[in-house]
Amino acid sequence: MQRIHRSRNNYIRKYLLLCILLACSAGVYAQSKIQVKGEILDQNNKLVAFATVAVAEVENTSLSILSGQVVDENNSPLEYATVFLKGTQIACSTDKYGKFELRAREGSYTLCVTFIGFQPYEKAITLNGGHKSVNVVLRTDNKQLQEVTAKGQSLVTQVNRTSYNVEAMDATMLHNTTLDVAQALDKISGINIRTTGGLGSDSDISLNGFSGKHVKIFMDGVPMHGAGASMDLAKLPINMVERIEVYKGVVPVEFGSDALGGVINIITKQSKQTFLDASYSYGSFNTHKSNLSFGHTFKNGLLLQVDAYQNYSDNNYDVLTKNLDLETNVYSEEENWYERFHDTYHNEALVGRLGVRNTKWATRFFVEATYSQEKKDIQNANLQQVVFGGKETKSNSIIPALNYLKNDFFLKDLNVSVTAKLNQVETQNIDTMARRYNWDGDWAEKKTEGESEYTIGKFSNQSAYTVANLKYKVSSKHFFSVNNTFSNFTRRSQDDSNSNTTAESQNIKRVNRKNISGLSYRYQPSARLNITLFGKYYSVFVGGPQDITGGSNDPVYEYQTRDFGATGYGGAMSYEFIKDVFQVKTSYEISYRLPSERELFGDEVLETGDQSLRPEKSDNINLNLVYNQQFGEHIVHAEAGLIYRNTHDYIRRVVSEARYGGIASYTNHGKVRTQGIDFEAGYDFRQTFHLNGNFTFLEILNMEQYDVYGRESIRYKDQMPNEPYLFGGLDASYNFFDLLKKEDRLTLGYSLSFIHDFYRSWKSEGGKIIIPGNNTHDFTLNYSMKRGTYNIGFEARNVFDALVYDNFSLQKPGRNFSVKFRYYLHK
Amino acid sequence: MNSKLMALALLATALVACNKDDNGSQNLPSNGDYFAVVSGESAQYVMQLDDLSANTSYVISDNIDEMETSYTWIFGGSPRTAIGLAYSQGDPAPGRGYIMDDNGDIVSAGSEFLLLNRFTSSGFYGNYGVTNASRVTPIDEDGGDLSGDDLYYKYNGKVVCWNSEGGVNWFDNSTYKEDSIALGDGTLVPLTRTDGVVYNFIDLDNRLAVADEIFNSLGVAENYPNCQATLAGVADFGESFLCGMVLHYPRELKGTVSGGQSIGQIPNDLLNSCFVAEFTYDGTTLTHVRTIGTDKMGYASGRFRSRNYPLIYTHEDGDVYVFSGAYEASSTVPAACMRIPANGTAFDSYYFDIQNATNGGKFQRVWYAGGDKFLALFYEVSGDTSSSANRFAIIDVAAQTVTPVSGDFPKEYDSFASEPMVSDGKCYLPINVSTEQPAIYIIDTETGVTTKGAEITGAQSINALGFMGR
Repeated sequence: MQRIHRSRNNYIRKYLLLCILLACSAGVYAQSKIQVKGEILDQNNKLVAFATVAVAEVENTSLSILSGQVVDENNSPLEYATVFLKGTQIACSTDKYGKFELRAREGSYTLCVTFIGFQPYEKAITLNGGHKSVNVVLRTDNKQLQEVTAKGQSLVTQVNRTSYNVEAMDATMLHNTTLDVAQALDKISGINIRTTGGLGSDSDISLNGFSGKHVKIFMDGVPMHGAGASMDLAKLPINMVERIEVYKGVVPVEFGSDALGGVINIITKQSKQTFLDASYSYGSFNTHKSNLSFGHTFKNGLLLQVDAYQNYSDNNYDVLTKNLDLETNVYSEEENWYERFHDTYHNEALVGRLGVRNTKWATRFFVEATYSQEKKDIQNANLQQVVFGGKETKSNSIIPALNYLKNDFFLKDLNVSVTAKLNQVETQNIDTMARRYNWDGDWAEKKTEGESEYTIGKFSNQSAYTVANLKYKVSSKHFFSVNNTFSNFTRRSQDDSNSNTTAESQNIKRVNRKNISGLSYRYQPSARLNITLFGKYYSVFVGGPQDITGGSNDPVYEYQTRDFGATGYGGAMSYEFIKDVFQVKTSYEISYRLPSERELFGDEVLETGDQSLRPEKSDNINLNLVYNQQFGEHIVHAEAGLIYRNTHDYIRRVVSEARYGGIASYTNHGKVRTQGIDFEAGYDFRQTFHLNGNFTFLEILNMEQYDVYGRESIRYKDQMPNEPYLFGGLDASYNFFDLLKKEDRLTLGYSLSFIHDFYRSWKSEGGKIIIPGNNTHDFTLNYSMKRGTYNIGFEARNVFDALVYDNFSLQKPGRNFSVKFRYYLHK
Repeated sequence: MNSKLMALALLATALVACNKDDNGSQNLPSNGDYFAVVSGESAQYVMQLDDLSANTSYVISDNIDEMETSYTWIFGGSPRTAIGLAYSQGDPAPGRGYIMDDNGDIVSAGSEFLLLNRFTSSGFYGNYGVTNASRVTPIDEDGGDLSGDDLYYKYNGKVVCWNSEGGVNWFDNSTYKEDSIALGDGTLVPLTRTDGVVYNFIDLDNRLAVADEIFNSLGVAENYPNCQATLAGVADFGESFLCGMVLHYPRELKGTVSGGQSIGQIPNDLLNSCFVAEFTYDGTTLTHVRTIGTDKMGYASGRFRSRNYPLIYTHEDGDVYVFSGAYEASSTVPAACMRIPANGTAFDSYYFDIQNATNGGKFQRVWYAGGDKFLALFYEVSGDTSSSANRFAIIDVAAQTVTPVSGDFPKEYDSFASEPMVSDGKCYLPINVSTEQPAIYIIDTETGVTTKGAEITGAQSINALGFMGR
């Protein structure tokens, strides 16, 4: 009864909150309507996308309206092109359809349209008091190549210039490299990717000191959690990706997720044009990667896109480690170099998408299906010296999805989008050999099956997501958006193979259902000022096996459920002190991470859950200063981000020997304060030279004065362990144009990545194990012909063969080389 | 200005790139006879302590070593060696040993070793560290591994086959026979055995070299050919070693037996019997010498969920004392203690009815506490083995008395070390009490009077304590 009562209470709170937010928003809207009328602008002004700075010019005299559309040579609309009348203050930017609208007194003018990467457009026009329409086609500036678009008002810049602490990376710049998405992310300030080995190994993202379940990853706005197999950042080829957005700490409502640390959104390539992108690379350790993307939009609006990719590697790089004597089962005293011999990884994935564009009923609608599979040999335990020769894991996943987008849905400027996705993943772990191996690849028999623990267990996970977004532009200054993200995760195990060590409750399913609703309101009184307020309501339902005896000698498990909710809110503001040069952004959010089914119900063997756990909570504040300036052919860019995170109610695992005979449980304990700075600076000379550096320093302090047993903690104000806190990188490239033939380009690139040593456990406890820092240097050479149609690239990574560890004892590959061939055609 | 900022960034990069910390050289703060393992918040550390008496305080940061994983510690052999065993449910990890060198420093006993198999209990036999674990592996009739083979089990009166690909086949009653199953083509397949007990032997005289042996326990008790054993404890018996046993029918698949998840059904006529297995190991061969039984008390193993705690220990005069906590509610014999005299082949006449001496008390765990004393952990509710086990007492096997601990011994605590240390006729037990720093409690085994000894500031708990002196 009590549970039902609480649940209803939550719903009441949820709707009350929504009503309050709506009421507030309506009030603000009413006010703004009055102001709008006072400023003459009529309702048609809604058409213009964002910035209309012509207001001051307009008076009650006879005005002409000049409207039109700006497209590129392929007839694709160009958003954010600058449209102005030469010699006047009358200017605007194009909207996402490339459309613009200006008002001016009668007279003769020169219409100018500029967009970086394109030749400037000028045309003499005469306005006669009526309505004039002009369509503008911008031609690509041959001298300005791909890199430049990143500096222009591209989508990347657009994202970077929102009020949030967000960094967007133009992935197209990396399409000629062999990097995967995780390696690309590693180049963003504040982000550190930690992997456990070579291709296919596990990876974890650390974002401003938050990692694991505190950071959530999205693909095209849909959570990636549970997509399995090949849909992992470290396995996804960069060529499938258009751009990557990283929201640090404060997250817009469009991403319905409980994340304390932030959100990463991978935007896949979805061109309206016909394109073919085929690449193949071969590298050290017998690594083969290939990728084929094809997209075409038929005349009737039918859209077809196919992506296929494959990764294979023997991962037989050398590691420095101790070896086991198979006679005595004793390890050597010294470390020696050994080649990895059981670390082959391969995955394959196929993504097909079929849809329509610009029909009466849908601006875009598509259905998509993904099939992927992977197989991974497991070479070692989480301590490198424990080596395996037969353990493996394999999985496959099938992911159907559909996406619907309708602009001007019933009302003008009311845009609706719905995405639904179903991830079905089956994983099997195999460990059956009664053998022990050493690093020479030799083996001897042991008396029991399984190199660690016998298993042929299969697990099937199913997760479903629906994401609905509704955006409404009330006027050129007021924007509303509503988001609802629903996710349902179920897991079943069939690991009866090892009936001696698994508990009977393991066959009881676990369910985790979340619904996150958000409402945000953006007020943009001018092109320079941008204010966003938002609220989110999180509700969770979890189900799993619970020991109904409360931890007795003879536990009895039953499927039990629990539901609860939390309300979060925040705001973001940006102001351009000097237009296009200097911007200040600030944002705040109180964010939550809700307890998982494991934390609430335990693992049924040696962990007991706690149903009274509260969500983890964090106050996140960002302040960013952005500087951008062009001096003739020189462009400089610098951004400093200050972050502050005050996190409480960390969910921690505690072992309680007395109550349960060594059974662990979870408790809300711990406060952590993170203060840090991300700094990034770049310099570009024409399109010839590019230099960009970033570094991140984080002071992540334990602010919990008492330990879980209520004693004074010696870890108070100590830096949190096993978390990189000082790292950065540098990228430089130089282009030579028209070297052998016109439209050819040679790019020489260099990049440095560094990370400082960090303690595996607490320094204040006298921790002895340090994860060594390192510097790695990569060199790249790329030759592109016919404006990027044919490309060949050579890469030498970790050139000085540094010993690289992201995690204790797990060594990453040393010096390696690769070559990549790419053919890219687009119409 | 921008170029300055950028220069600053580059400078920072360069500085960071050049600045390498000293890679944690180890300093030994003090010599001492005691070896302790303490838990920090995310790691375990080795400490060397010299004074365990009251008003002594150590700080966790004075540790001498940080460990990559968590271990179960056993102390024994000559010279006294601390062996850290790691093989939980999951990956194996390198084990390690420590001894005290001639300078009185605690140092590594040799290289790390690989424990080959999982273990559930452990102890010393001469200069071998010994572990055992029951029901580890599916085996065929001759005890051979069924690696990657199809496995046939009973389940709810049916037979289920887990094939090597991970698939499941069901067979109905009509084809199911006593110990085998007739397949469709008439082939008779034996049901998979799960009675293998696997041993690891760690040789202190040979750089901690590890060997493994398997013992098929089906029929280990002469009159019960259909019963197998779950073993608990390793007690050094001079030329051999003894292990307590719980005899039970082979376990069917999960969810089909009452009375715990981990072992099969115990036949009713064995609920009042205790069996001990005697083994020898000569460095190459494990030999089951005999099974020693009595029907004066129940089996010698404490139980908690899937765990079996040892209740068999060697007295300093060489006799082995065997306890039964009378866990089974339907058992009609009391919780008691019996003895197998040194060089004996059977229980002698010694018998101590502990349940009667404590007005119905039953216990879950027992440890040797020196001399004639044993430290025991009784259930909170007298005679109720489903209640929490949290009452400590000293059992004097000679005087046949049971004395509850008193004095400073905490009434409420969060955890205690896996076993007590015995030194100078005293029993030392590290206990972790909320709001106090974890401390070592010193129990006077004559009186049960306990005083609070040294504490270790900053530790979450003290996991193990051992005497390493010579």
